[in-house]
Amino acid sequence: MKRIIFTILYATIVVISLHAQTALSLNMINGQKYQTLLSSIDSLYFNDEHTEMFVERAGVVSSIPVAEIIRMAYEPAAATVEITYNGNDVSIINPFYFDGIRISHDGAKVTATNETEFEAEYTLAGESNDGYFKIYSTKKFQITMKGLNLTNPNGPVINSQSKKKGEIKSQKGYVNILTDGTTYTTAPDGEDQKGCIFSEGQLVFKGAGELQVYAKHGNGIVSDDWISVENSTISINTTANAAKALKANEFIYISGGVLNFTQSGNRVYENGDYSYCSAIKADEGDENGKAIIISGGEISINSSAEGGRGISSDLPIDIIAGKQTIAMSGKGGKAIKSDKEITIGAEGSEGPALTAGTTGSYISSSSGSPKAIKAMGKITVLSGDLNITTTKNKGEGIESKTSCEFRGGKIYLKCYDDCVNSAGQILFNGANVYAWSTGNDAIDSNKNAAGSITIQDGAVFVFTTAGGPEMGFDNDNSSNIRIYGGICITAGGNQGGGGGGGRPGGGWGGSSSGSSVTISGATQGYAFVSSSLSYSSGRYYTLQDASGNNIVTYTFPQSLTSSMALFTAPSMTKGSTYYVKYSTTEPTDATVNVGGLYVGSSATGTTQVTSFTAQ
Amino acid sequence: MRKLLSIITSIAFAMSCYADGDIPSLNITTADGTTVIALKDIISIKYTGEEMLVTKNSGSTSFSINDVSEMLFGTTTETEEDTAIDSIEGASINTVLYDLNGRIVFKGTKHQLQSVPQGIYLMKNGHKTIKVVL
Repeated sequence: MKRIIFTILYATIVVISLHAQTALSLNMINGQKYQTLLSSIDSLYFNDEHTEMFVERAGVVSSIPVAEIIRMAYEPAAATVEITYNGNDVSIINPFYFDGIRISHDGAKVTATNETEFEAEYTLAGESNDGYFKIYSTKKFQITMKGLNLTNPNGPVINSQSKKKGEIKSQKGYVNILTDGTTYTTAPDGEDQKGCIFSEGQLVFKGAGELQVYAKHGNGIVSDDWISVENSTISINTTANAAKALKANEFIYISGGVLNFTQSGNRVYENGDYSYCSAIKADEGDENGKAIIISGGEISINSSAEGGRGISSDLPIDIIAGKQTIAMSGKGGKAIKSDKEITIGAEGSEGPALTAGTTGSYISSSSGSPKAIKAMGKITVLSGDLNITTTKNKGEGIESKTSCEFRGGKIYLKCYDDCVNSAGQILFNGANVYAWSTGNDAIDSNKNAAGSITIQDGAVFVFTTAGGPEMGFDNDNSSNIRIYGGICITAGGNQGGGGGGGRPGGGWGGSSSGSSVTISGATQGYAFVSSSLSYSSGRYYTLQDASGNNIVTYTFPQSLTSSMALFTAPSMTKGSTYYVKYSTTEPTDATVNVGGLYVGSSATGTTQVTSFTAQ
Repeated sequence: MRKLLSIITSIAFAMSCYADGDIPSLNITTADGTTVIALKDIISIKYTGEEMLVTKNSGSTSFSINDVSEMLFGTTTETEEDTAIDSIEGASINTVLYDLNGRIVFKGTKHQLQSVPQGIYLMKNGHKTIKVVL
């Protein structure tokens, strides 16, 4: 308690003292106002010729030509360098002039130079259609924007050539608009200018205000180091080909704020590869090798870019929490893409709320397929509420070239192509999954080895409405499925043809009984039902035991006929009989409800669809 | 355009500083008027709390920074004492004169000052106290 009171008291004193500080202000002929706190002045005096005024502060003497001083007065001290743009001019209050910080300007083109050991803050406001703020600094700095509307038709609007960390704050209650030009003039030798906001150093975004970035030349916000977004409502609009809206050479952390991205443009072929538009992209990763970590905030991405990426990196991506809504409407769009691993959620967490969808078609039949989430490495879902959709041919929901594990969370997938596809294992290990494919398999592993699709925990309801040979589970050889726990209901076609419809390894024969498939090492009862099951929308189907106890309830969004279905649950035992019955009343007491999957309900069906004996 | 005018003004000012007979000065404006102090007379300006203390070759003058509206560099042909007295005489308030031992030797107005014997005094008018030679 004492500490709290002391803290409040101290803070109050600090605030009062800040407000009470008076500065000596010098209006200069260069249009700037220099200030220094009276409390910092040892003395003022003049040279013998009376042409120089000396300002002695803490034993350090600065001189100013008397002829350059228009006026002096005592005024409230500015806490930051205040730069106010006004058309083609700018007003500048520099309270750090005597600390060595220099501001120069050509019209509204402002350059700040800090070669001192002093960390400075710059407040930017006002409007100009031909201005910028450029900074060279040997120390960290902060830029606070208070109603800044700045356009640089020839280059970046904010350009930090400092390798030190820069904090960019959008002041609460202010909307700031930054716009660059479609063409940039050549940068000075040795300098980069890679975006509307560019920094050689780290960038941290803060503040409860709003920042709008209109990047016409190419990229929106770029750091050659790393970027952290802690707060602010930031909207970035890019229109150029292969543009990156938020790009870091190393890594990007997003822990708060509201980020809105709008992108259009085409992919560009360069250096033997394609470069794509990307809303959030990082390259080299942090000390743990993670390129992008999202632990909070709200992200909205709308991209019509050809082959556009929402969140992408060659390195691992972690989406731990927050809310992400990613809509890719361009051909071959990918909402989340990594050449390594993608991890969604965290152990013991409820986040994130992730909606990722593609509505574009493929770019070519051999490349550029739309994917909601794609990784060359493993894709792991630990928690969260996921809504994954694709609507066009070759549009897969989740694809990993390595493996997929669904360990937690609620996952809704509705995809034109495979909802989940992997070259490796697909492991259901605790998540509640609803997967509906309208044009292909719901779950498809191409591993063709024991355990390539494994059900270990959680609840899984997967189906396809494409008809045969598309399936709920396409495992190439269904005896490779492993069942160690969890609830699973599949529905779909049969691969047919007795040899798997030409698919490697075959599958369930077109007319063979599903019950002929034996799962090695299953720890609970299961049944393959290859007889035709007619399901209708508007009905709630309950898998229940002979006593009528609910095991799981599921419903379909449209009518379908299943010629191959897998039923398994921890409560199922070999040799026992189970029933599928329906009612038209939706369960209201389910503990888990994902799409048409209801877990933990007491609902029972009244009209029998089928019965079977568990293996 | 404003900046250009400022530069022209400043250049003109700088030139005027060095015109024959002109002495560069610091003109301190308060609600009571403008005090003109020749730069050659200023040893230093220091701050103590809310006070600006101008130490000169012939004593010191203090101002409350709250009273100072602006300070401009200009020129003068007058001595500081003349300027100060003119400033004080121009004011409508009474003047108090102290001897160097701090004793009040005079209270009155401009015309009554002529009755004060020649000597060195501390003259107080409003917030300002300066050393003067009469």
